Amino acid sequence: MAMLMALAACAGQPEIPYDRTAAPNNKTIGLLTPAWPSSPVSFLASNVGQSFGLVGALVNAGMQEGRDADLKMMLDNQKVDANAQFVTALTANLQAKGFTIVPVTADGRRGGYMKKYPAAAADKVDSYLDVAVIQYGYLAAGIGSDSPYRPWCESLVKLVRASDGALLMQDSVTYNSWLDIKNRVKLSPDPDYAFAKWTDAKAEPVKTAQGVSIAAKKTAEAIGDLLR
Amino acid sequence: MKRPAGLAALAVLGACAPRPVPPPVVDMVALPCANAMVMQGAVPLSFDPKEKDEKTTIAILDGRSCCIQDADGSRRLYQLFALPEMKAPYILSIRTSPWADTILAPRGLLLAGDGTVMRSTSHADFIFRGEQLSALVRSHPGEAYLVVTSDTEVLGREVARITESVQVTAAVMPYGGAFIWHSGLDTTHRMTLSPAGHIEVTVAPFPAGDGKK
Repeated sequence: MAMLMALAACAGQPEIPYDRTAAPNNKTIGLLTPAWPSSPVSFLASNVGQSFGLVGALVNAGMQEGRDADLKMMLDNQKVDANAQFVTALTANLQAKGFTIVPVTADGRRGGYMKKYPAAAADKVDSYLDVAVIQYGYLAAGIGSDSPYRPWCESLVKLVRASDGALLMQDSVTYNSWLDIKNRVKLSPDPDYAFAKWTDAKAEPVKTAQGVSIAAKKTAEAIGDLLR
Repeated sequence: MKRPAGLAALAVLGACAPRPVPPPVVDMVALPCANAMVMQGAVPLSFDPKEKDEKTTIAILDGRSCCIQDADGSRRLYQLFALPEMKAPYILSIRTSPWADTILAPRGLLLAGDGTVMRSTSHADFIFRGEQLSALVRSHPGEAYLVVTSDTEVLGREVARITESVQVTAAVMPYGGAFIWHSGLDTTHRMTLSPAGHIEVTVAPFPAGDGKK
């Protein structure tokens, strides 16, 4: 439920494009520690349990927890830190565009945007890039083998001028999704990473972990490209 | 005897269902093309005179659209829009939607009142938002026209999109009540970037209270 509320927030925020001419002095970006979920999920967007009330919901919740634990174990065993990969990809993308990136420590468990930004002089930056990854992991639209588990990453992003808090850019980017939210940047998932059943994903832990890495990196690159 | 009657009724209803209009097929070689853009007949972009709500203008690039031939011989269809005269800054959203197995390869040009190109988008500026190919740009002073044209650099390329969706189906049970069934759909849509297609341009006021301290 918390996840759905967070995703609904994507639909409420207006998209504001970045415009270099509106921010000519934006050379140094303070990249705040991204808000990041405590663990990955393997989400089934429609399931049999939804048709059987509370009992069905409880059964489904149990199965969901099992898949989530499987995925976390696969990532841990493969030493895949999607958060670190995301930050590396985003930093490289922005540096390639000529920005100087300064990492700024923030609460990674804030679950959304920062409530307040540091004073401009504190970090000697021109702006703060605030990224909130709402969910990441795998997503299947349904239980059939024709709706496979595919990598998934949902994020919100805003760029705020450090001197006066003006909003320089605001958007949302998702790698794969079952929600059709107007105007949200929607990346099509890599077709090579699709598992007809969750047991298939468990049988190929290396490939499953690679799929999560790709979703995190592609999402980060798409966020960087918004500052084109 | 009831079954044939029911089938006939369904057939009649089916005949009334709107048939999808096929995407326009344009012979770019045969089309008369000018060497310069025609600046007359610009479609005014809809906007909210109170400058609060967004408004959308729709157009189609097809065989009846204006055509321009570049110096290198490449030909492009285009639609000229007149930008609104708004006091406050605004955001232009230029979008194109899939049309069967095609989607317009869009490019946006922003022109001054005398037709001088002030700036233009590249194909990298257009990204999928939902299932629409879209570019967002902020208004700049001195710009009077928007031209949406086909991007000759990417024409003919194929785009594949994987889309997930969920459906909820309800069935009334004979003993009362209803059974609700949730199901998911995973589809791959392959489209060719085309010189013709749908255009949507939305004028949205820049959000008030943009987070300034």
